[in-house]
Amino acid sequence: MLGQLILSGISQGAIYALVALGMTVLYRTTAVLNFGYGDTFMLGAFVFYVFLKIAQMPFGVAALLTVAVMIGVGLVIERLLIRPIAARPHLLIAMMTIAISYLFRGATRMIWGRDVQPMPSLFDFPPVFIGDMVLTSQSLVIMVAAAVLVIVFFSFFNYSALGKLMQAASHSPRGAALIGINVPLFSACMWGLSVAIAAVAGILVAPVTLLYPDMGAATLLKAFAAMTLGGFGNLGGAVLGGVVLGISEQLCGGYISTSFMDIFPYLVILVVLLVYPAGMLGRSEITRV
Amino acid sequence: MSSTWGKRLGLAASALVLLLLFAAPKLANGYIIYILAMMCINVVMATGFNFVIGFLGQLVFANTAFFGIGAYCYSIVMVHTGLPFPVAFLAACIAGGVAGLIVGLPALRLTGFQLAIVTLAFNELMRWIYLHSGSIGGGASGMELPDPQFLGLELINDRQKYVFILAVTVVAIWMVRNIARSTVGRAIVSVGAGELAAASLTIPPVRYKIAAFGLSGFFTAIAGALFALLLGRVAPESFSLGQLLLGFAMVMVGGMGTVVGPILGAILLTAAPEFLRNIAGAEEILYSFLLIGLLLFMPSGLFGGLCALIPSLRERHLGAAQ
Amino acid sequence: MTPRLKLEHVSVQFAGLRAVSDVSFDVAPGEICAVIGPNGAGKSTLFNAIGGYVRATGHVYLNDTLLSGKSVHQIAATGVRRTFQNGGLFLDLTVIENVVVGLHQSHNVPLVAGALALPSARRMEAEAIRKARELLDLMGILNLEQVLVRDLSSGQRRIIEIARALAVPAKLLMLDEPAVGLTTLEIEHLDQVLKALARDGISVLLVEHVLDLVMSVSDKVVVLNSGMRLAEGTPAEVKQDPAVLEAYLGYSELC
Repeated sequence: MLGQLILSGISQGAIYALVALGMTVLYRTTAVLNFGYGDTFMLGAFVFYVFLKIAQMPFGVAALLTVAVMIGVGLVIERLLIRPIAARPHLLIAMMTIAISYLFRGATRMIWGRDVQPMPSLFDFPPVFIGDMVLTSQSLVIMVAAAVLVIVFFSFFNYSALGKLMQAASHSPRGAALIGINVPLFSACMWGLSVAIAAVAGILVAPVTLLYPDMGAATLLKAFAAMTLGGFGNLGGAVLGGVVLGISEQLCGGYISTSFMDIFPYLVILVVLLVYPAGMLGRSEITRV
Repeated sequence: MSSTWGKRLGLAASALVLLLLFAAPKLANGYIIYILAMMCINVVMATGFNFVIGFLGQLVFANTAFFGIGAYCYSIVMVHTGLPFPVAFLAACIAGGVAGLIVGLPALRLTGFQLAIVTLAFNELMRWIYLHSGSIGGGASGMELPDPQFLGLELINDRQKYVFILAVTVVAIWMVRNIARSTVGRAIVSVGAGELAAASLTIPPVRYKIAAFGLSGFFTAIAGALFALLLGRVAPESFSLGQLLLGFAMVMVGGMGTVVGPILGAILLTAAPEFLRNIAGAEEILYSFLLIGLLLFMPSGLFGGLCALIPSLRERHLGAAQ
Repeated sequence: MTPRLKLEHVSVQFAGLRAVSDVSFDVAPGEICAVIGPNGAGKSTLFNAIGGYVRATGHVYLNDTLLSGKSVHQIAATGVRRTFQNGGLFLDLTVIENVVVGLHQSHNVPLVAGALALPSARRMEAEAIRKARELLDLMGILNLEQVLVRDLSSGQRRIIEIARALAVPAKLLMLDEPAVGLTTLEIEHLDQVLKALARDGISVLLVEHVLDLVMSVSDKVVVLNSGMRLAEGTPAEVKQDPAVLEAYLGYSELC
């Protein structure tokens, strides 16, 4: 059973890792913590659902369209809602992201109400058996896709020109403007990238889960837990934290109880931030408020 | 001087409004009384929330947690102990204050965003506790509460409850106004506006940050207890993230960091959702538009905008009459 | 006579960089001492070390009280006050509200008394307001009482910041570049204010680049360079010190 739990945990954790990564990317490069990111992920899943199930498009086309549409949404949000208040206190920008989260949630709820939407299972490969552990084709796809995305992202971050800009901005988001980076354009790119990652996570998770408008909130907290665990603001930490969270959650559910699984992410956040705020890969200096 | 006349006019208007509010049980029907009672509760809740997010200027998501702690504490004492109503009420307030102090402690070590996340997690943790509170808290279906009877006074129907709620609200707002105009309020605002500058004037930032949290918990818990009183029952579904947003919206709409702002916001936003409740998602969309509009065009809220137009309306942080 | 301020071997280290290196000097009661030096010499860091804003090694004494190791507000409570380079006034409060905050140490109404508007609270509050108005009147700016600090010029803000810092009598006033952004007239006014404070027995320590002010107002000048004390003496002595001239090579104002 241990092996099975770990395997499920990695698959779950892959999603958390992606969401945490996307949020951290935006936070590190623009100093904005997007409280609407969970609902962005939810919107991505729903948009994919629309293209796949309602418009009956093939998987590949639906996926590409979803990512394109979501990037568009991200760019519009950045241009109309974030950029005008970019210079204001963080408190206000954070509130704007909260407002955005409710916009997404309200819109989705208005269209689909409180119903949950089941998705057809997409992949017909037979499950893989490893010893007495089962790996469904969906889980396999999630893990592989997430891994590929993470590798692509880090290669891009470390080796491309835009990646170098991102690294510079990560060290000092406001200082980046001083060295001549076109901040509005950069900000738009980062929002597009961040939202794209959320969209991919939404696409990956849609076939294996029931979709409902409130799924964003739960995911947001899991992403926070992953970021906190891995080291707040650390890109690698976000991924690591996500996977570790996924595995621990499954172990918790398997060995303790499933109801305890619900509060596991909250406990992680509370314990880590109160005891060792740096998390696994973060710096240990505690910045004063 | 025109400002003295302005003040007299303001006082007269307030007196009139208060008179009407207290006379309402005789004048209005049950539905309106209920709405007025909810308005009062929201006023107290928004005011409590304002201590941290407005006066101190810190982003936290703990308001619903304090609200719930107040409601549940009151309920548990009323249902499980034989203690009289005033004790239950007091217990709720104290529990809220203590919870506030406890939440305030990590605030000293964590950055702004980390604190926001911790309080969000705390909020959800509390909700899980309510859901799993079994026989003590009633679990997922909540608990029915006995109607208070003390000193020969009965609070059984909505009208009686309303008068009590109104009285508590008036006292609470009066106290908050006094605090805002005295040393503690000024110190909290100073620490929020410039921690180092405040410290250079002998103000210990730690003490007043924790004080802001404690006061926030205290007043928000009062609102929670009143809420449980009004409904006659308590259940976890009342303390969801939706409640959280409501608190934010009220403080933002009215004007953060003022005493009048949250009152204004609470009044406006209590009346609105009634007709929206039937259309799924409409409430959320309305709030999001409201927040977005405010953040883009009037971040200091309605009252803030008003003060920009009429500077003499601006709230003083000073006590004695000028 | 016990010096008002005594620095003994004060050093500040930031992760490998020694911003302040083994600085020692005294300031007598009622003395005006200016700390000058090229950019990056460690002047502001020294200020922060005295005030408790950064950790430092060595000892700092106010009269005979050891300040080192205390927190910022505790040091302030012993009688040390300061102004900030970028202005430490609370922008969204009025002038008089700012000054009343400055009276926190002497007029501290407890929470419950304040919340219930008890007579004792009201009395103390009224007294604080009266005192604040007196102070503003003394500085000739009572007319600005109800103005939001955000709406004031930097010259006005500077004076109010000093007024706020001295609302409760101080033993040492530290001014961080007080002359920045001031007109010549305002600098003259500042000059007079500082001399009046010194006459009242308050010691003044200022970091300043505007050397005219330094030369005219200071009793003593301490020159820092690369975190170390380069020279110390009267303005005239320092002006002629060869080491100082070398540090300021090309700085024609000193000649």
